[in-house]
Amino acid sequence: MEQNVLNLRIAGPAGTGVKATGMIFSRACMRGGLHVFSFTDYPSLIRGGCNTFQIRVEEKPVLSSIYSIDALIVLTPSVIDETIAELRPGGVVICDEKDVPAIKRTDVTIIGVPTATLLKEAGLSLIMKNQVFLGLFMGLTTYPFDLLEDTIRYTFAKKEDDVIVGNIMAAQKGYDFVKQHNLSFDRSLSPIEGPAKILVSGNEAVALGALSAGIGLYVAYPMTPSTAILHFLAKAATQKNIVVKQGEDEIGVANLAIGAAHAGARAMCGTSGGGFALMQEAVSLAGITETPVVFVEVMRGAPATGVPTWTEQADLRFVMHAGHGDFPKVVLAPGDVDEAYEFIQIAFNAADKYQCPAVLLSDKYLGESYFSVQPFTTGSIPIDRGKIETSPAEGFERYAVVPDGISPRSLPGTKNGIFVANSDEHTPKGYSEESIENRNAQVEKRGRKLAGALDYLPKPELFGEENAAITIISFGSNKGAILQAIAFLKKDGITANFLHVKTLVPFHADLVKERLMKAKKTLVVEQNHDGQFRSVIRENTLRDVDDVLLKYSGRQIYPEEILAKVKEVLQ
Amino acid sequence: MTTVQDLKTPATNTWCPGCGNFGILVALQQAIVEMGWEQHEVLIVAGIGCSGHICNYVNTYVFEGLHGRPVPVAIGAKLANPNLHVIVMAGDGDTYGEGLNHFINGIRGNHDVTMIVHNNGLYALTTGQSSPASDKGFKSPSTPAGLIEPALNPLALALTQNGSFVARTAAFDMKQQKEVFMQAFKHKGFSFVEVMQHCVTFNHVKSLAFLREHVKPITGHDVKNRAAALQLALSHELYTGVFLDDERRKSYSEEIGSLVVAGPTSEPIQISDLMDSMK
Ligand SMILES: Cc1ncc(C[n+]2csc(CCOP(=O)(O)OP(=O)(O)O)c2C)c(N)n1
Ligand code: SF4
Repeated sequence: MEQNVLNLRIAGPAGTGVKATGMIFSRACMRGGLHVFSFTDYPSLIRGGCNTFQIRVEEKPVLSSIYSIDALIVLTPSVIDETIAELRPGGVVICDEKDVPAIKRTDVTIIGVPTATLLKEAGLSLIMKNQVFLGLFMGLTTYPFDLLEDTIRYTFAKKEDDVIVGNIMAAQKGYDFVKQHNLSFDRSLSPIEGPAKILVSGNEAVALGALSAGIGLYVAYPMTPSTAILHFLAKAATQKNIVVKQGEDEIGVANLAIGAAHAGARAMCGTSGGGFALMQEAVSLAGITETPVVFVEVMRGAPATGVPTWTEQADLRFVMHAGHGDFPKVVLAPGDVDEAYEFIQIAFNAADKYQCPAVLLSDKYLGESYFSVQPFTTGSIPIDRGKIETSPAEGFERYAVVPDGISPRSLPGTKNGIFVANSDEHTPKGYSEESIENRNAQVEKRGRKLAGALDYLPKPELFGEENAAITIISFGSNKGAILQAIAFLKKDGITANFLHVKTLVPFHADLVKERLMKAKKTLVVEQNHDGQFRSVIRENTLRDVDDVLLKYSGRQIYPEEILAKVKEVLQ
Repeated sequence: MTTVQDLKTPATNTWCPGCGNFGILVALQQAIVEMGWEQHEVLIVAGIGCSGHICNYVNTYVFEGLHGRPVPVAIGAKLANPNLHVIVMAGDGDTYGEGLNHFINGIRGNHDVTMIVHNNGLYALTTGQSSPASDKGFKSPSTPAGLIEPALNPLALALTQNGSFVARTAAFDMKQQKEVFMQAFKHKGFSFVEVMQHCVTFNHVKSLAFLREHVKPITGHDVKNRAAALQLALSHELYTGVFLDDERRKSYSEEIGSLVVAGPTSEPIQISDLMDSMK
């Protein structure tokens, strides 16, 4: 019997409450002091198909999902074949009694639940079926029912009493079913002591971080998997006194954010690859007008519409090279929710300090996965609005050619601060001007702005032992899977360390190179076909890595895959 | 007090002698002066084209953005700082070609900005190709056999899409232009003014002489009567003046309660209540 180590998957067609059920389970565990990591997979449709929500539970912070699942709750028979392969031998399937014949596997325990009968007994409607399953699973793990009840109350707090009571009764029916039928399972869950936590997704962490950064305006056009940022901020807008707007298209969105930033608001827009493609000219506009604006690009499987609800990191080079022409920009890639919360604040500061566009590069796996973490702390990253001239002297020159390239800006409305923010090349005052001297001076001025940025922006971080047998190098949401793989490798007697690159533009070339030179073997892990990150490392350090693990199926990289690859490289 | 002199800049003007843009520039400066606005309270957002070059000639805050995209920039600035007087100056290519979606949505949102379109019936800066405002049959380097599509009717479009202020004037008519601009500035909501602008270099059809002969100032019209305004807009006559000025519809800023969010400093926004709902 293993305690507090569990991987549960809930599967059902879209529209059957897969996520809602999974969230209640995750929260019930978290409220008992346990840590959870939950992710969701779903196809791009509103009804039907197979949605899954998978929750891994541990006593320590969960680094990532793992491939093998211990238990599977299936809400309809149609999804069984698609989702049962990852269930380990000896695992348990919970389904309606009618659906038992649809399960072909003989090496797993099947619990067929008479949901209709149980609900009828309690005078409840069939739509409460999910709670029966959930209660049953909680009973199977011997987790205290009151934690589940408490979570149901919390989740449905805004609903009528009979809805709350009905859900609790349904869960109780399932919970009691376990005892009545003497069911057992080789995994148990039990509450532990621990600090209060929140269950938060990468997208929510970005939204919370933006608020902590004092955002004034958020604008977006709906696009999976970035949409949750829009929904979250739209809901908070009135109370938080910020403007949140859905734009007419991504071109309008990016230009609107630029207008707001120009007027002095901290402005952000969010999208995924296709939307960001439409924003390119505006990114470039922010570059030449030196407007501090923040973009969030939550990657999904491309090209074009691609696999819209699945994860990928194939926009890496596209984002690094965003916008036509030469101009400074900043690109940061968080690896988990804590970093998402932190990096978006750094992105706002960087945009203001260097007066340039800053992009937070996330992906579906990070954006839509839920992590249990301690509540974020406000004020840990002080707001830095950069050089804003509030009382300019007469003759003020917005684009003065200064040594560090960062000339103070004035906000429209400021006396004596008048200038032209010009998408044409311009004089220090902003007037269109194409002379060789002026052109060179302005290009070089902009080109100097990031000179000090490598010191300010998050540096690559090394996890694991200094003298490991292999160094894994990666960025973004692969972080958790890699750390988990390193922990697994350790059990097998293999030492691996991990260089997590946090800032993509500008690039900490010297630090990465130093690590490459110290490493015994090197492996890049990334989720795209072309090995884009590997080539970024090569061009910046003039060194190659020994091998690369690529994945582009739209499914995230699992620790098990990294483990296997490391063993292959070390052979 | 701002004077016309204050609104001049040292930049060398590059418009062709006789271009209608000069008239628009002067009328704009006069209207700003007569509004009594301080020059630093005005933000002009320009597009790209000969029209967009106006960015260099008015001594107020100016943002010269991308071709077709001045409207969203203007909306963003106005949302961030409702105290600014925001004016869009754009070409017909900017507005009815590249940026039509923004134009329509600016009208839909009734954002409190004024949009002045320099309609010279073609793409001047790129040497005279036809634009969505060119008439069917218009011969240009890109349509040597004559344009196939008929011209867009921007005024009718604005009127049918709930536009709250719709006007047309002509670049040669200094008095009417200034008056129309001022009325547009005073209007709460999206005020759209189309200026028939002669391009002496490329448009030999809608020339200054043609415009002088054909414009017909509107008389005896109720500016709150949308149906009558639409009739004027659909007419073959080139009516000028204010077609519609109706503030019964709230502006976007009024709808959202006109928050001032912009400033040189920012404070963190409390998130503890939001995190409470994640426990
Ligand atoms: C995205 C983009 N496409 C094309 C151009 C080239 N371009 C510059 S101005 C212009 C048309 C200008 O026409 P209009 O807006 O009517 O202004 P005008 O010059 O007639 O005043 C075009 C197509 C551009 N600058 N940007
Ligand atoms: S080309 Fe036409 S629109 Fe452009 S400046 Fe000359 S006359 Fe004016």
